[in-house]
Amino acid sequence: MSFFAMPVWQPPSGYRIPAWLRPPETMVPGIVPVELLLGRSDTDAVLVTGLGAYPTGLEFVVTVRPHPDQLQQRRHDPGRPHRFAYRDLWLELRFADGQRASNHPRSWPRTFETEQPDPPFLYYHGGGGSERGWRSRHWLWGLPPPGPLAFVCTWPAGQLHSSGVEIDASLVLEAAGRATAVWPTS
Amino acid sequence: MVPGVVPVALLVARTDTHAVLVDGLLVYPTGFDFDLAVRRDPARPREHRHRPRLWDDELRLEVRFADGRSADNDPRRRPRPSGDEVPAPPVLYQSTSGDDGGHVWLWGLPPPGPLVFACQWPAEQIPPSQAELDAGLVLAAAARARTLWSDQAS
Repeated sequence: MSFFAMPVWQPPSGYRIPAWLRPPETMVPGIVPVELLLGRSDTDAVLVTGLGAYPTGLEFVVTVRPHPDQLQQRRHDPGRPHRFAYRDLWLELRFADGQRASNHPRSWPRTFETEQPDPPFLYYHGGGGSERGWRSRHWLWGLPPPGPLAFVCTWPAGQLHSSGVEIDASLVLEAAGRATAVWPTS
Repeated sequence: MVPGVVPVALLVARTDTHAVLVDGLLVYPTGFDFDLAVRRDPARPREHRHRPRLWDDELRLEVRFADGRSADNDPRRRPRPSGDEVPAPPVLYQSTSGDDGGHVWLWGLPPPGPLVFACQWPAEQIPPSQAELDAGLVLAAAARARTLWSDQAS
């Protein structure tokens, strides 16, 4: 077969992102009715919003908002060093039974892409943004046990050192109970 | 600001193969944002496009207020104010768009009454479909929004 007769490239078919790396596609989440301010410094604030619970875990969004004064400064900074400022923002979830889950890849088991890890496992779907802020989506594989559930972030560049907030895990468990199937027979 | 959350996710459309959700509704005094999430039945094979995306291929969304005003995600209809001119709400701005949905900002809060999310996606055989939300949930969430820094208005 000549080069010019090569078949058209086709994306890999049949691959499915494993269940432990994303929310179930076939469900409408139960919404956890909280908005969380994890930390606030003179320059930035870190929020957790959009908490959607499923029987298999919890999805949420981490948002960083710069102080409006910072926004002006960063917009006019030709070096744009803030582009890399979010690289050292890490999040840890702490459960009532003493277990912890971090979104730092070094805390993930080496085989997480091919073998189902033991919950809790906090996967990070990546993020994006600009000088106006940053947004990233996270997936917690496994629901928390009843009791306090703490969200803790560390972010030296944002002047936040182990700053967090606690909620009652029953809010998550109740929301997971409200999740419904998109296709009832599936 | 720290937004107020609307504690519901809406199933706006569902066919045998696709579903469209409105999820992650976060409300501020000036408007609200949300995720437009496309779900596919994983039991069915996914088709891949081999041509550039055109507007005719896109998932179309319209938000309707109880007083008859509406806004949609057709970029050709988006107002283009000049200078300091503020567009009359509602204005719908979809910041990201793709096969899995997108992220939407709606400038303006709805009046009390039903708030309708309507969509259609001819390219994926999703007919005109809609779901309603009590705008009171959005207005109550707006009242819970709070400023991040006391020295700033927003």
